[in-house]
Amino acid sequence: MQHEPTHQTPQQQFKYIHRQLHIFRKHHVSVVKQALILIAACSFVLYSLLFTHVPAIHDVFHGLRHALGIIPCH
Amino acid sequence: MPLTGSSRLAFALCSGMMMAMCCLSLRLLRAAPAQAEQSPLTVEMTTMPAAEAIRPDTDLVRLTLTIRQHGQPLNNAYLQVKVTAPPRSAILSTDFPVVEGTHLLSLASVIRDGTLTFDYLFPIRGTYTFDLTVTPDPKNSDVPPTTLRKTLHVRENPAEVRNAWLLVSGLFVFGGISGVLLARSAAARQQTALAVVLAVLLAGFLGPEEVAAATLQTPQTPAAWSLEVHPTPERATVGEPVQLAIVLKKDEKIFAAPMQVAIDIHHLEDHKAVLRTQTMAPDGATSLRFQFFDGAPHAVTVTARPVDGMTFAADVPSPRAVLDMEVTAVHPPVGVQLRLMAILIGVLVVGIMAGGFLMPTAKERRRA
Repeated sequence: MQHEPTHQTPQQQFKYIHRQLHIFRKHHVSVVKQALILIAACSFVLYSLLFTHVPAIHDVFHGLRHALGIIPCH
Repeated sequence: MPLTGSSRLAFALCSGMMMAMCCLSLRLLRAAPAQAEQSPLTVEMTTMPAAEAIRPDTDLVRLTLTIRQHGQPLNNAYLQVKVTAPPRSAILSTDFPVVEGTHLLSLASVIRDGTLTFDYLFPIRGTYTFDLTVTPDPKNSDVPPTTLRKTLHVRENPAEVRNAWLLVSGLFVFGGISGVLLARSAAARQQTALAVVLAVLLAGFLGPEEVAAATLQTPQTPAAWSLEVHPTPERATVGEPVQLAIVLKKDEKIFAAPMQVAIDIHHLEDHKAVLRTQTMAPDGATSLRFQFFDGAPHAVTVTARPVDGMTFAADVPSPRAVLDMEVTAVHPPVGVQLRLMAILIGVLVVGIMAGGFLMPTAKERRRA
């Protein structure tokens, strides 16, 4: 982690702020992207739990699917 | 302070989704009365338990069909019953979508005292159609063969309706909480965690497909008598009825006199009866069409009892055949899956929008 130096010239302060902004922009993910990632992850989980035909998963959640009444099963 | 444009949009979407779910719930719980066509013969259908209390895929229902002519029970008639599953819904599927709108059961019997009784496990919610063809005994009646239709509405299991609502509500609440968190957070620290979750879930998708089922027949009959049960096709598949040809033979010849046939179909995985019926065949050969609606092993037990002049002969043994049937499961249609997936994701998205847009607006209102 970088700390602000105690004695800086205005140029040094400007470079420091510019570098911090660059780091922030580099690692920043917008709220829309976060929401899309969340929706994708939830879709994947929902599909795995409720719709996939893979026996290892299907057999575990077979009872749950029928208990929900609206989940199509075999 | 008035709502912003985006907040109004989220609120409108939220309200629309909730109204749509209310309509769907009412549709699930709707009850329709039974109906019958006008004809010289009348049919009355009673169920035990009552139609309103039947839970699909749970309750073995005793159905009694009573055929009357001029108000009196019809004697010595031949009755064919064909049961058709409820049609496919445009929005919400049932848990057995392959069964929807298909032919479930056909059985025929000589009826005495105008009644036919059988036990059946209704697989899904909806309105079942019973097509009855009655052929009165020409010696005793001048009524031609008559086709009657009855319907029976089976409501969804209340526990399953509640569970579906819990799923939808849970998704909405989860979406709302996520929306609030996303709106308040500008950082993207969860990216790595989500990638790990996705990687773990991806590993769960590696596995073999379902194995096809097999058929095995094990007849059990006393000496001199033989009872044969021939399924067509030999391999049962969900969505396709199986024709069970039943032939009773004595000394290698088809039994020529009337026989009473008891058929018991049992779901071996869930340990529950699916069909129980006793029919009367005019001779030693009869058949039954039946659809196995669940891709699981079933046992079909057929017992035939020769009838001597419509009276049981006490000294005649009862030949019995047991047919073990594996049923091949059929994956539900992709379109049905995608439709329901879209509904569930839609609820989640509406929740995220509600949490992300409505909550800050309330905060701003407090500041104002």
